[in-house]
Amino acid sequence: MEKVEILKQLETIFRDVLDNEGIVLTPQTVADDVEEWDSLTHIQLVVAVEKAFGIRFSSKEILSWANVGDLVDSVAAKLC
Amino acid sequence: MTVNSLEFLLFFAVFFAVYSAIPCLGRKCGARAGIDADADEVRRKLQNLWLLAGNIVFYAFAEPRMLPLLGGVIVLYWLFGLAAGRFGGSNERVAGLFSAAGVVSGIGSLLYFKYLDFFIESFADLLSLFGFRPGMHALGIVLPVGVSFFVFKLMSYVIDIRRGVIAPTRDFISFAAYVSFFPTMLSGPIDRPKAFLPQLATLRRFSLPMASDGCRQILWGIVKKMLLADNLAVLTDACWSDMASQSTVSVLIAVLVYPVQMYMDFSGYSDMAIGVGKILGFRVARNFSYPFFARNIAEYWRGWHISLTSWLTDYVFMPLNVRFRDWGTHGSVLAIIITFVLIGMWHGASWTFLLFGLYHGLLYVPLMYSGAFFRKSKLKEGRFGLPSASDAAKMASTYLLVALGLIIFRAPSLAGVADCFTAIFTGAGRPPLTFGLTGRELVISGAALLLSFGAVAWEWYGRKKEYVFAAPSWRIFRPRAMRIAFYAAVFIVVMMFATNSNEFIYFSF
Repeated sequence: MEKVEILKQLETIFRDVLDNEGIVLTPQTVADDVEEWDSLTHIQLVVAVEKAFGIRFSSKEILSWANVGDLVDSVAAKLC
Repeated sequence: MTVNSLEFLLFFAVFFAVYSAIPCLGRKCGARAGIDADADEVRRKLQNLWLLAGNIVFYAFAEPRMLPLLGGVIVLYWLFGLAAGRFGGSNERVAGLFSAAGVVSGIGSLLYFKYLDFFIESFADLLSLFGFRPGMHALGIVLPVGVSFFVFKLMSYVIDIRRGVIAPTRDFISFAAYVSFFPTMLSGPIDRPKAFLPQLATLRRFSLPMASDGCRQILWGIVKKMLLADNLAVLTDACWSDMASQSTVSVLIAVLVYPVQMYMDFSGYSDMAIGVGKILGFRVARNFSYPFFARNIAEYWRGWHISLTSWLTDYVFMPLNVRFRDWGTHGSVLAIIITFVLIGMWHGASWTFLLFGLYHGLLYVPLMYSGAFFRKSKLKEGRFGLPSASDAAKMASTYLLVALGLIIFRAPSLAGVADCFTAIFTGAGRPPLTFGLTGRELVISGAALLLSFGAVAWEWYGRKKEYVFAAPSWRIFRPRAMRIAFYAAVFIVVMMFATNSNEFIYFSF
């Protein structure tokens, strides 16, 4: 799957989990850019992403993401 | 040597004169053209070295015996960082071992200095319950000043290297200057290496706007601490020192006033530390963001002692929550409770702090299961810019929960918590409201309480700013001289009504 497609799918997941249709994700987006995205909703996002793509991240991966781009890279690496 | 003492003023005057002259060494001050990058690099190193020297002198005033220990751990963690960085990417196992060594030594030193005596005493108490008299005694371990703050900085340094958030620094002087940075050494805020180390990588030239902003913030901190918190402390200390003879109304007043006192005390100190940092050209981490406008306990903790709670969120809560993620909300609740027990225990080794943390952790349970935690709404303003009735009611109930929690925090022991509640329920017949204080003391603490309400109201209208204090925007205060006169007048008023107290609540942690 192309990274652009992954980003599009992540955007749908984020809108759904965070209940905000206005969310637009770019690879540079960080938690501070999205009001509803905090340390608790973060884990809900992780679980939803794992479920949607049928993948499992390691703790180290999850804790090393600095922005949405890193998350996209992790998903892409697991899918190929 | 506290930031609001005369010794500090003398120390800082000498320190700052040299510090701010270093960028001008060897050229006309203020000359920007033809800046020689190599010469600036020398000046930067010299400035950091001077900062480190200042840090050492400052720490030596507080605790000379612990200087070798502080120096030792700084060298050790610098080496851990270099080793973790050296093996990262090539040999992950070895890199992981070095950062784990940093975490284990950090936790180990906190356990030793802060908690060993508590464990020994608790264990001896437990054995004596079963009739054993083991002859175990506390070791009387001396707590190094600022240990809870600098050990957290050191641990975040090695963890961030391991997580790939930062690269290890080869510049030992910068690293040592960061860990021992004197404005935040005694009581925080806890700066993160990612935000602070880059600031040491450039030469800091004196900036008048930033320095005057810093001075204003220091003055606001002095107002909060010396005028408000210390005068409120006269009232709450009197109540807590003789709880058994207080009336119900007096105890309730002392309990309700304590969150305000604590806020003025600790956020006042944070403002002073951040202000001193600004004069030196540093952006220090924010520690408070108007916690009394929180509508539930989660919002409150987002605005209270932010540098500690965000540290524990990143390094304790998040890893636990990731690990427990298959358990859904139960997993998050468990991670929250563990994190809050640690926040409580961070304050010191006692059952009251443990219970304080557990209490706050448990307050999240209804928020999490009802889903209220995830329903975020913006504060609405009603007439005169005041909060809406429902928001105001939520703020008041959050405040009450915080005040109740602070009974556990303030009490000298678990029995002291019980004494406070006993006084509330049995003190109805006692003479009310004198607290055993003189008339003058009562008037001044009462005035401090009214002024505190005024300060909190001012903060409501200025809550979008970092801090609210500034000369009024009236025409008369437009000339700089008039603004300076205003600040001087505020300072004089504070000095007239300051108590002799020079204790900060958070120095004991």
